[in-house]
Amino acid sequence: MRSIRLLILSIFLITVSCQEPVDYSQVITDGSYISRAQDRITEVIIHDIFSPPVAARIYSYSSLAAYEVAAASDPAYQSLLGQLKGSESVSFTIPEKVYPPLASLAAYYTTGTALIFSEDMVNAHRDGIYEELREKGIPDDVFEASLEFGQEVADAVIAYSKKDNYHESRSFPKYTVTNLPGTWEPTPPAYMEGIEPHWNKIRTFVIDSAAQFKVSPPPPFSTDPNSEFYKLAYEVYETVNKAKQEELDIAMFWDCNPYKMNVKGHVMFAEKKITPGGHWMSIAAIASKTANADWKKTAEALALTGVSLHDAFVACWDEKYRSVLIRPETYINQYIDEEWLPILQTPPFPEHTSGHSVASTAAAYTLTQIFGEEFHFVDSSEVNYGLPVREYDSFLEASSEAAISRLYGGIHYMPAIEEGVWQGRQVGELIWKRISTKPKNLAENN
Amino acid sequence: MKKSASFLFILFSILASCQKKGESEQILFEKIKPEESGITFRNDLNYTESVNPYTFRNFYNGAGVGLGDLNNDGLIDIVFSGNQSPNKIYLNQGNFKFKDITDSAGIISQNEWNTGVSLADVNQDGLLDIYFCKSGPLNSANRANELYINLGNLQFENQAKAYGLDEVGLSQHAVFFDFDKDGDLDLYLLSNSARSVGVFDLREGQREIRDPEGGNKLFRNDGEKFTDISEQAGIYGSVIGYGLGVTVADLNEDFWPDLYVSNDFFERDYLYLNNQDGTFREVLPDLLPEISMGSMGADIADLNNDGLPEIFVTEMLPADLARAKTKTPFEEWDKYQSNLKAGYHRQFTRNTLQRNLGKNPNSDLPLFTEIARMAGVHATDWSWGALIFDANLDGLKDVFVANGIVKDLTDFDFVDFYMNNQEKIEDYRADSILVTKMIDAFPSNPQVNFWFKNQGNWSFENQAETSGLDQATFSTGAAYGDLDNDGDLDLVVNNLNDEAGVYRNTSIEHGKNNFIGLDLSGYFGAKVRVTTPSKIQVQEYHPVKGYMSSVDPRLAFGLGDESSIEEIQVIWPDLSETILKNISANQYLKLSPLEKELLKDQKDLVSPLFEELPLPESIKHQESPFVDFDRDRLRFWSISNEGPRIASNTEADESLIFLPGAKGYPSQLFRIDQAGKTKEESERLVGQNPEMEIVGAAFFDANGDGRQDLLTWSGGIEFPARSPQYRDQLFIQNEQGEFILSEQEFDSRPTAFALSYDLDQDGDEDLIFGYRAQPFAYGVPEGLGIWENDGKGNFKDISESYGESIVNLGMLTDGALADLDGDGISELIVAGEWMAIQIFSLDEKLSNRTTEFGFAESTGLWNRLLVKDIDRDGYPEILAGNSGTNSRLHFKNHSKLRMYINDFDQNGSLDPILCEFDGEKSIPWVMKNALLKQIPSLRKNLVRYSDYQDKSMEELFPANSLSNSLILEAENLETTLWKNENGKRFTKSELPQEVQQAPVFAIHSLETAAGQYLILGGNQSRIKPELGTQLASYGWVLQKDNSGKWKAMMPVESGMAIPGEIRDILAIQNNQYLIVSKNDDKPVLFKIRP
Repeated sequence: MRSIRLLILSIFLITVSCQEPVDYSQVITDGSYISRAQDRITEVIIHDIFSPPVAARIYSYSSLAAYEVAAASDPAYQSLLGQLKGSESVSFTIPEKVYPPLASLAAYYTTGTALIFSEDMVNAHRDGIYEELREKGIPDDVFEASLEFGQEVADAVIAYSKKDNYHESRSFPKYTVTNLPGTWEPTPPAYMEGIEPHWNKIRTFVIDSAAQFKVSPPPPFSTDPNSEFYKLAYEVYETVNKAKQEELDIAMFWDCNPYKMNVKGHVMFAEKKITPGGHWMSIAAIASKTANADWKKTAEALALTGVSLHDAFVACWDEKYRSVLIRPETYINQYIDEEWLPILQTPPFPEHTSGHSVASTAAAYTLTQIFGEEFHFVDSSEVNYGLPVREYDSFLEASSEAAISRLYGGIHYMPAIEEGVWQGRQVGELIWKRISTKPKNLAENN
Repeated sequence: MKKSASFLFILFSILASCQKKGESEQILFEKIKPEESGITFRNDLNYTESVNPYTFRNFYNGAGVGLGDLNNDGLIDIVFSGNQSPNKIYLNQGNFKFKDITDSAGIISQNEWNTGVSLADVNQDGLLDIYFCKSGPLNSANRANELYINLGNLQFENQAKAYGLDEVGLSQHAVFFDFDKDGDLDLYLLSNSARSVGVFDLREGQREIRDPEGGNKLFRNDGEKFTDISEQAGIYGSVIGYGLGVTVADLNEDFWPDLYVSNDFFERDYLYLNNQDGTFREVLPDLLPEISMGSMGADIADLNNDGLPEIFVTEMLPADLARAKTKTPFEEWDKYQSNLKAGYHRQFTRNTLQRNLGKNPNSDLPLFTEIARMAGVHATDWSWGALIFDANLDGLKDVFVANGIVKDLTDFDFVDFYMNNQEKIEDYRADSILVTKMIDAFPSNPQVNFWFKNQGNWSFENQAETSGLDQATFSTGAAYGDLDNDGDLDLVVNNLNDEAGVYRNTSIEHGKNNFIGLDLSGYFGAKVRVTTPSKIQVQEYHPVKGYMSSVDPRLAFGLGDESSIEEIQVIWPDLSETILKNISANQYLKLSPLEKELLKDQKDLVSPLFEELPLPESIKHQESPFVDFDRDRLRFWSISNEGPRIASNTEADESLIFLPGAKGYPSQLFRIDQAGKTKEESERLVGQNPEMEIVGAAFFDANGDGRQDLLTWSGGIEFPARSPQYRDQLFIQNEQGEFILSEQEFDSRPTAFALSYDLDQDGDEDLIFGYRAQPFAYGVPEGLGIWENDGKGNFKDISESYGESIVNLGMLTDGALADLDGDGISELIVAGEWMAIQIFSLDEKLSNRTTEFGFAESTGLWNRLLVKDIDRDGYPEILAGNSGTNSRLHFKNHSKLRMYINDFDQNGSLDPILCEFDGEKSIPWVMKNALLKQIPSLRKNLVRYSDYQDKSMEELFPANSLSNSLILEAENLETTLWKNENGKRFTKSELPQEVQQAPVFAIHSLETAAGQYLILGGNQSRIKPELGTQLASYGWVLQKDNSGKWKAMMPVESGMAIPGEIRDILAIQNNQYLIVSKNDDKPVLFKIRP
């Protein structure tokens, strides 16, 4: 009898020891998991061939969802829902047992998956990550509660995203090519139609309207060799013809063409790369890691960068289809040298302003506000796509290089770059002024 | 002048075997195994990292077959050219036994890339010489073309250098022909540019710049040497000439050899007419409204025994939709438009069959219509060799197509997804095996060749599978020839990565049909006409033909069951002739122009029915630049260019014509006087708004003042619904003859037609309007509008009083009033797109009597109606213009077209999805990319093209989504004439197939003292490249033949050859004149022969 009691006791003890709470609080501390998730989303964006503006939209809502969990879990942060245009403030109560960094990750995956096509590619990766986290000791009930809360936040963000006119805009008329001199026309080799001609009808996050920061129009079109327009085209022509190795390296590094078509006779294959938005989201992740940011600050950096990129693209695209300007490749082939080829493949939309210039500047401005003006980082975003790393001492140094790279690449005139940088800066500044991730009193103390 | 038999040297005469075998067991082509024939040639290809389809674009383009009697022993020998395999010569030892004599003949071809093989007696010594074209990677050795002169005793020596023909380039083929009729053979050398494709495409003016490194060339035979005269002769030789085929034939009946050059990729083909002075003029865009895009092989021969040669060009369109959906790149509308603008013409991914209609009455040029889709020969996958010959000796030439590409280089899934495996790519790149690994991964699907049996009347049936040609291969060059001298044409095919195909034709063994064979002693360019009791057949003698190949240098004619020949006429190149009478069949005759007669001019000139008269330059219709597809991505054809329909009012031997103006252009009024002189009087129109898209008009007396007033109606779909631009308008004619816009407010809906009729029998003209479409809602049905006249020209909308019977009828296009049942009261007949012909009684309810008259199953894509008593039995017939059968949509078996209309993704806009419905499943026509751009949510399940290729609507969309869709059907595509049987029912009567070659938008019935005619016109240029434009009509004039059947007059008889898009045809001034309106072009005025 005694021995039986002993046995029962020992079983009891064993059981108890098994149920003793494991400290899983350090399983996710920094932004490494969300960075891995973002890398996967980037791969799927490339795989599914989303255009640059659409890609920025995917990044922005996904990282917004991740951030909303962070904001709900820490009074030092505040929700962006309610601050962003068309959103309603939601006060999320974090249920018991929820492990916020996991919920944040779950919110990211759920939102991202809703916005891309190849769900299986994300799910397979996500399941692997979850398995890894379980093995690190996050208990099942905590896991379940976290995923559930992540889902709740994601649902709110997805519902918000659905009202931005994206869905409706899929049936808007395609751009009608006119034969007016000086207007954009499809470019070799694939002669793709102009992408997203109605992107200015997509809801912005912060800026009042797509046209709020109207840039100076390009100089009047002219084929007269003495005209300003001709000279600008000639500048592109000469820059490419005399390109130095460093300029070629810069052009290639910032190419960010999500769908480059290679045609050799009947043989065709597409080469796909990270989008410009993807590149800057990657920089935001690299910066967070470099700054040893925790998971919440990483989520904040990603969310604000995403919001900046999205508004930047809307503003830029508004101008693109207002001025509908002819690309240097078309102009140069028609009026200067019919055998000329740019270094980069001309992307399928009008010239003015440069998307790289607007988006890079807006993102760099935002990152500067978060991480500071002087900030050394090693940009390894393009390593997976066969390109080397480049180092910068500030975000604005990187964004300036991204902007000028389009001249080196032979796909933009100088005003598109200069005006684009201005436009991006306006977008960045307004965003930083209008919305805040810190509650007012805390923000002041900062 | 009769020729006696003394000029006739009978080479040999063969009695055809008369043992008939069981018909069921007949297989036309019997494959002869290599072990049996001794022909072991294989054209094997191995790609490496340095030589492959990436580094050498023409890697899989194959090689040719040359047939000819090299040792004059009466047996046709075989020459194969090889790419990475050496060339081979096989001596025919009779009875389908061949011996490889390559080495002993002195033919050396190690490490050469051979392509075309051309057999001709270049030095006129009575022995066939061999010219090999060379291609291959630019850095490879031994690339000079070779001319092996036949030294006799089966010994050959390469003398290309001495003859000036040792050209170095990417040569494809060389044709020998006597272009200047000086008695020796000149040479057209076809080459494929070394320039890469995909970078400098579609630039203007490239064609005119000669490629200093190569380019196509014309060499004149100057006896000892050949001289390059390309430039002075007007031959294009630019870097964008990606020639894959060249064919010689007399295309314009002047007995001088012309040239057709098929070009791959974006460059259009070339059609050169011989100027008879040592030069050519290139006139393709004027002669061929639509051509193949990546043109490959070609052949030219007469397919309908009218004596005029047709042009057949092969391309790459797969026969089944699923394969097309994963592999066929079609041009986007914008790209297609820029191609057109830059001078690259209307090119489409499909084979083309250009039917020769004879001379254009307005010029000396021939006229062609492209009818491959109607004939069913348009889609034979990746096709190289094309041969037109009478394989079954039934008197109609058939069409053989050799096809197959070793690697599916355009597989979309490969194109899009291979590069996702970045990691692997980096590894492969590091190991320098990237390209080979990538090519390994390309899918490879051998294809069965096509053999189209000519069934007459432009009907062809592919019988390859049942004719012994059922092997799946990668076939390139091919040639026909009578290898066993039994009278039927055997077939030799050069296959990649496989043994050559050698096929014995068993027609003669089956003993059903007869033949006559002619050896024309090497007189290239001679024309032969063989007359038997039932038909006349014509062939031209140009044996260097087919893809990279040379065929049997004798002409063979199948005679069917006719065993006697009334006459054989040979017209020699110098225009002398030899005529043989009463020849028995089943023999070979050798003929030469030893004694001859000069050809008599037999032209029998009959003045045509119509003679064109000039119109002032200012009178012109211009269409607005609106593009339907920019708004509705899923649609395939435009409906916004269906105007103008003209109105005419004849008074005192003069006609006043109203020509509607499209958006941005005012409508015009002009007067035609008795002498046919025209004067514009547009100033008589007061108050018109040029921003409207006026599509039609009618003169009628609206207010009973005895003067004709003018009703105009507006169509198109480019404005939002209910826009004032859609308003139909009334112009009242005042005493001064001005037409003043009245204040009458009609409806603002896109209108197709209006009819005036005294509906309420109160002595004034009421109006019936038929509405065309709802803007931004293609497919949603429209109906009729009925407006009552108060007698003073004020109209009131009384449509509602007719209730449901006149709404939701369909997308109306035309209406007519006629007393169908002979009760003295007219019926209303309406037609439309995606609907059945509808018939209404003009009673108080407009009762629908469609079913009673038998039209319930008449759904179609109807454009136009003519309701008239054509057979003069007192009951009017119904003739309805449809979209025709010259379309990829042309139904196979019992399938029909369907259009599903729904907001499938719930985003506020309707998605019209065009499908082929086989009775169970509806397969969408739209390509995946276009569908996903409209409905992106589908992408989740359709990541790969292979996911989409076979999917039906039922698999793509949930059942409830389909069940609440509007489903429209079209089960007829043919323009149809229904005969009215005593007012009780209608039966279909036969129309000539010509009227099915294009959509019919205009019909007129003309009766003159000379006879009764039906005139039909149409065409549609705004159709997406997936389906291709439909421009195969120049206006057809039908008249009845002796048996009472309607028959199409050829343009030279009718005088009508109107290119472009006819929209209305009207005889005016008591049938003295005929006026034809066209979309986006000047109208045409004819004087009618009394």
